[in-house]
Amino acid sequence: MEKAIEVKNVVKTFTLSKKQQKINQTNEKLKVAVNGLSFDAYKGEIYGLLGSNGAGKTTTLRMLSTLIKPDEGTLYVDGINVVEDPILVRSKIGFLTSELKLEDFFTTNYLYDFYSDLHNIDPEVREARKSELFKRFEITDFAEVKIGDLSTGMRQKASLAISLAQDPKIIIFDEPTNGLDVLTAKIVTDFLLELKQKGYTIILSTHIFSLVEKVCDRVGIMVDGKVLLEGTLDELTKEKSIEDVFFNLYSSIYGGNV
Amino acid sequence: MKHILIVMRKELARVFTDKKLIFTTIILPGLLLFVVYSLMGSAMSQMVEPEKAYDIYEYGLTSEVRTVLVTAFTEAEMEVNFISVTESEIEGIQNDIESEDKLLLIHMDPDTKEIYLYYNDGNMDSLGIQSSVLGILNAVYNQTIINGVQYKILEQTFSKNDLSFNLVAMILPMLIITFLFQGALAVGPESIAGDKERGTIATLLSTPTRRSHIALGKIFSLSILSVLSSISSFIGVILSLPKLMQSDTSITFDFSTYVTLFLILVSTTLVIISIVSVISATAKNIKEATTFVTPLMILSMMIGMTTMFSFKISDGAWTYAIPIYNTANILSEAFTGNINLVPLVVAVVSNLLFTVIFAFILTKMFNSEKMMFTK
Repeated sequence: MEKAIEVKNVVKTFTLSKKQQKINQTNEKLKVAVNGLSFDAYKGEIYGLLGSNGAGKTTTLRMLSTLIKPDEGTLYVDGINVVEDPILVRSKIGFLTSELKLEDFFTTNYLYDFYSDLHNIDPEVREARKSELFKRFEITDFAEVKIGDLSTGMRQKASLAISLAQDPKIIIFDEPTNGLDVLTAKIVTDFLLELKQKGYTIILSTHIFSLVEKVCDRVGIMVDGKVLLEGTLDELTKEKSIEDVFFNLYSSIYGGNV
Repeated sequence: MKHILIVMRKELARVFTDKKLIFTTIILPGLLLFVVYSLMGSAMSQMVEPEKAYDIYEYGLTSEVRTVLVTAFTEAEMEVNFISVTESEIEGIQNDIESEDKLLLIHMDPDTKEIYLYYNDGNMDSLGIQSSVLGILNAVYNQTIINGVQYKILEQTFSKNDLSFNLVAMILPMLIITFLFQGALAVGPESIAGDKERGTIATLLSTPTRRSHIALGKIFSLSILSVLSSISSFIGVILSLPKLMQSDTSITFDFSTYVTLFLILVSTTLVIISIVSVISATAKNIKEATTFVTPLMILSMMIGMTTMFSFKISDGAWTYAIPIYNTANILSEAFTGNINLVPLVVAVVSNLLFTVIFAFILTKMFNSEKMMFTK
């Protein structure tokens, strides 16, 4: 199978501010967020990074989407090194988080055009794609309403449409259903499955077991900045649920204190 | 280049599609200047009342300087009595000024030609007459009066307007600098620190656009908005001048003064917005950015106030290369009709150079993940 994403021995360390040291109840000035991480995701599959808060999932996805650089190791997206050619990588991916990151004072329609222009999409192609996505996510009715006046579900639909404006074949999705109501979460989940059927590659991070069971082909369980257990969903859940697999792994590392 | 324009268009759309922002960012600065300066004009007319008689005590004043002062006050229709005192009386007069029994003592050293003005800045009459004398001396003698060992006399007539106008020339730079900063504060932190606070910077940076282009798109659009804000301030100043001068007739500046004011206001605006942008990029949110910029604004206001005390670092043209300080001095000189080409060129070129340097720093900061994503 052809690799869409390749992560090799990646290390990422952050310097903690005094405030962060206080929050984390530590005197350590450095925090190793990702520590020797390696995994591959293949074209056409949904790869799930499963882990608790602070496991390094978001940092990993941010490195893949070229927002931050690794201290050590290499990351490839569609065969392109993310450090050497970040602009080309960004032209090939769609990056989305469940935290809403769109300016409140613009409409979905305006922001869709704005981000499409930054992706160098031809206006005719843009309009055709916009029409398709707005119809798919039922955005048309509120396309001219400012983001700040939309409900959470509507905003997530807008975010989805905008992040997919350039029709990326590789989609990086950080906590896709986190904090969403059940109806919007279902829309997102259904859409992920639809994209998978169309042959898109999706890498997502989550701590929601049901989402992993429903959409993922392969799963990597992250603990303390590295993937400690990896396999297809079928392999991992042959005898136990993914939830039990996860907590058993945790117990084996931290004893009974999960 | 295309991406810079796309980012610029969005940043400008942010303001121009919002009537409230158009008003607060572009119209309000000029309107406020007009209102504030008009009120100041009224206040100043009460500060120096032409009908009131003032006693000025003097020691060692040459007949030449006394004549200049008497002529100026006479033409301004102000009744001022010059009372000569002996050396032994000086200390007593100073005590009386301190206790607000007397207003002003002018003490001139006959050897060095240094002129000292003793006044009480807690007394409006004392401050007012001191400002008038200082204004006349500043206008007549080209060099600073404190260290002006060699001064040349300019041919200049005086009227009531000139007296008030010298007061204006001292106060205006500080106020204009303050308003320019406020214009930059209205748009800079929101655009840069606001993107970090909302997390929208990550969405923007995940597009296939050079980060330097995003930074430049932002700084160019902010510059346009700030320049519009400064033009508004410029119009506000021009419209309020007749009221500031307490005159019903409109002030007639020559063309060079208008050009000077325009060039210095625009170049100062650019340097201020570039500084505010860099500071905003270091902040985690809008509130922090505003907090970081405020001390700088206070410092700039203090620099603007130096013209009120005739303070100068040096008489060299190089001092006009110092941003803000050059603005204060060029504005002061423009309002007193002492425009010189070399200081103006040095000031404008320096401001533009500093703008380019700060824009370069901003592009570097946009490439720093620590700057863009630190929480």
